[in-house]
Amino acid sequence: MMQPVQRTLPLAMAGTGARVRLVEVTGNQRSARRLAELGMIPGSHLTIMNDHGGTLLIAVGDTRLALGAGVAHSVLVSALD
Amino acid sequence: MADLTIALAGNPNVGKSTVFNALTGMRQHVGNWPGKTVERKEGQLTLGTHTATIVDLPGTYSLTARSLEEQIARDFIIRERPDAVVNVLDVANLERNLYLTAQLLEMEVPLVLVLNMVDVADARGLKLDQPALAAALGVPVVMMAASRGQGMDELKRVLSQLIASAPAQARGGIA
Amino acid sequence: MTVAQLTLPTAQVSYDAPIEAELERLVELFALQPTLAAAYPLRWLAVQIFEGDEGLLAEVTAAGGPSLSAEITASMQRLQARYGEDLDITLVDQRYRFVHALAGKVLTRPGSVHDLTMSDRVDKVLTNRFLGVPFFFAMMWLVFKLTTDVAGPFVDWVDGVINGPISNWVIGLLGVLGLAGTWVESLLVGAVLAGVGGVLVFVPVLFALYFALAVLEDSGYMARAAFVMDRFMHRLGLHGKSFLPMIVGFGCTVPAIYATRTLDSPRDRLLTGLLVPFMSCSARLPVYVLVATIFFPAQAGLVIFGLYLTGVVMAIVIGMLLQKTLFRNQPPSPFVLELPPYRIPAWRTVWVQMWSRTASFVQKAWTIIFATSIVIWLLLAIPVRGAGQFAQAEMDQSAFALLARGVSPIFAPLGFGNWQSSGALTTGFVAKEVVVTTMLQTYHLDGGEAEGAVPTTFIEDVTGIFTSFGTAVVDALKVIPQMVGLNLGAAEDEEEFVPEGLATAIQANFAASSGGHAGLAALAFLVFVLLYTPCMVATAAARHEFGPRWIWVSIVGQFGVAWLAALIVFQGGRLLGLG
Repeated sequence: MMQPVQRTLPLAMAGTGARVRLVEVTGNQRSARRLAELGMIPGSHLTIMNDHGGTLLIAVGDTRLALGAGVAHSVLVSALD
Repeated sequence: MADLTIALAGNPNVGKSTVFNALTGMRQHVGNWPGKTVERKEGQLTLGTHTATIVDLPGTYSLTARSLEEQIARDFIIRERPDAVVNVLDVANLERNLYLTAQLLEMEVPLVLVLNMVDVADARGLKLDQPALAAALGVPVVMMAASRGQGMDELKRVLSQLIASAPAQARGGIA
Repeated sequence: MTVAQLTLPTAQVSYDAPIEAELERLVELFALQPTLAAAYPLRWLAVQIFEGDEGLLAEVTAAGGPSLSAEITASMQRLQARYGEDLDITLVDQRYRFVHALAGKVLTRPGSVHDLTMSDRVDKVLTNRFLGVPFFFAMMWLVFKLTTDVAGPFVDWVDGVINGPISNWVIGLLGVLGLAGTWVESLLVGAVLAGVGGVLVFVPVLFALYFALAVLEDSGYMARAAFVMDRFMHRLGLHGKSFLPMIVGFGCTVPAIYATRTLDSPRDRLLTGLLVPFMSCSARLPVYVLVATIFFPAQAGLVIFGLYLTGVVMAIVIGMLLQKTLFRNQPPSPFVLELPPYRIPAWRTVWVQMWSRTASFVQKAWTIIFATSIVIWLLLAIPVRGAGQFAQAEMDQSAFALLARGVSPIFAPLGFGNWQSSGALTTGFVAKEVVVTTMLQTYHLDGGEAEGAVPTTFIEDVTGIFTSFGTAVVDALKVIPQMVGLNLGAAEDEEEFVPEGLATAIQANFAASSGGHAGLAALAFLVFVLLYTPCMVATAAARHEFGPRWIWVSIVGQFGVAWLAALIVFQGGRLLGLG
């Protein structure tokens, strides 16, 4: 695989207020696709707005999404800049 | 007897039902899609000498038939071939809303874009170049603030024009 | 000005060259199949196949045979070699690129996409990790007050109009026709009007509920509620989205069961559907109000709120149990939900929703309620013992009492083994709203309801209808400031709308069947009403959605749960020396 050299971590670990780049959605192919259709495509920028006991509120462009803890763990991201 | 069918498509939460209510008034019928428990709303709209049946498709983010709602919306457009699809978008979240529009373009149906929530977009200072969008896609674009009733007359005017210009065209392929 | 023509859009999403080449190839092959060419836009069809649509692939294979199927597989393999297994994500990605370029051309924004919007700022407060849950409960409390206190005066008004002027007119009219005091009068007043009243009394409650739901939905708060409650719902093996049907369940179980359709997996739908009936539906509310005001006049509000809470707690317990037993090995589906920006609800949309949902409930409910009222009236009218004549039978000698007595031993350990209660619970399977109607009907005769105190004229009746409506509006308005904690001193003392005779009759009856623990028996009765098998319509809806097998789990299971819970309340309370 031609994975770029970058450290990835689950979105769930990124912390409130973090701005990150989506690298890939692991696990369930169906949920990867649903996330993509909502704008969470590899390379897109996400901001974690809020963390409610593991459930995240994130911003992708103008869209605000609630992601359950399970989903948040399946999304791999890398730090911006 | 309605002689035209117009489908309303769009993402959830874009004010589609407000547009639907404004177009049909109280002349609407709420039922279920055949064999499904998803609500099906349709109503009548008089446009000059024509009567159009407006069918409110379920709100979806995509049209790839991964959920029941998507399947209903997709099958209606592909199999029933409505005379036009009115795609309601939230201008304040244009990019994600245009994703559905991109899929509608692939379905080769006559399309009208309604850019709703211009009031919200204005408040955020968003500026949309309406002629540029209309030219880029080759479809009529109506700006609207449905909750205030703005743009509704323009939409009706565009729909009347559509009908007047070419009735019964692009109505092949009825399964 | 836009130039409108009924022509097809000119733009098309263009994909990378390798994808376009394969699309073109497939379109050419599809065009050779007349059935496909007649039914589908071919480029769209090719895109769907690349996205992995199995239904369409099967259709194409059926039309084109194995050679076409082989061509498709070859195309897919070439693309997957280049883009990886997830070809569908690649297509989504490229569509987004097209859209991104387009949006960049037509939209200019003053700041950055990362600037906080007004809605984000509101969310910082309303979905705050500490404030979010308290705020959510405050909202639920408001909805609850709206459906009880604000709708209450209108419920009384509807009730008053039907039992007052309208009954009088019917009786007067029958007098003119020479039918006064006959079984016809009994049928029209005791069954037909009672049935109509049973449905109409609901309208203010449902109106208030659907108003609240529409406002919550349209303002964008409903999605926040799902976000805030997700962690909690996770413990039930569900996620935040299941909260929506649960909230709808407070209105009516039937739409709530249908609302489970919005969930992603069959497992989530079924589990939610099994828990929804524990959310106390609005049809049970009149029963609580009637019984609670008779037995606990000072704490009626608290008792009712406690019942709602008990339902929620039971759902939690049952949810956890189901998760550890029937739903072992089945994890909940991933939770993804858009939070739309907050906005002022469009009042027209709210109105249309309130109206159409209430109307559809009335349409569905009235036949059943009407039919039950008449059946109950008939059973009550047929004397099976003693010397009564048809429609003149002593209440406790009627066919209804005979049937209900047969059932009542089941409820004896719960403290309400009297035939009136078991009769009301039995008809409650048909529709929860007839529990009260049945209680009123069965107690009606012993109640010795005073004949209309002062004879009124038609004009007085008509003006009375309007002035009492005015009073109802005023009463409802007085409640609103109280909901936010202001007490304007008015509307304080609850108007006693339970007829005096009825209250004493019910009290005496419960005292007799419970060996003197009337209060405990009443509480056990309320808990039973809260938890037992949902109505026939809800059961039919659940059968439609989940299949016959689950219905029995629901019917028998819920009856058992309700019976046990009521037993614990009654016998436990007695052991503790309460009541």
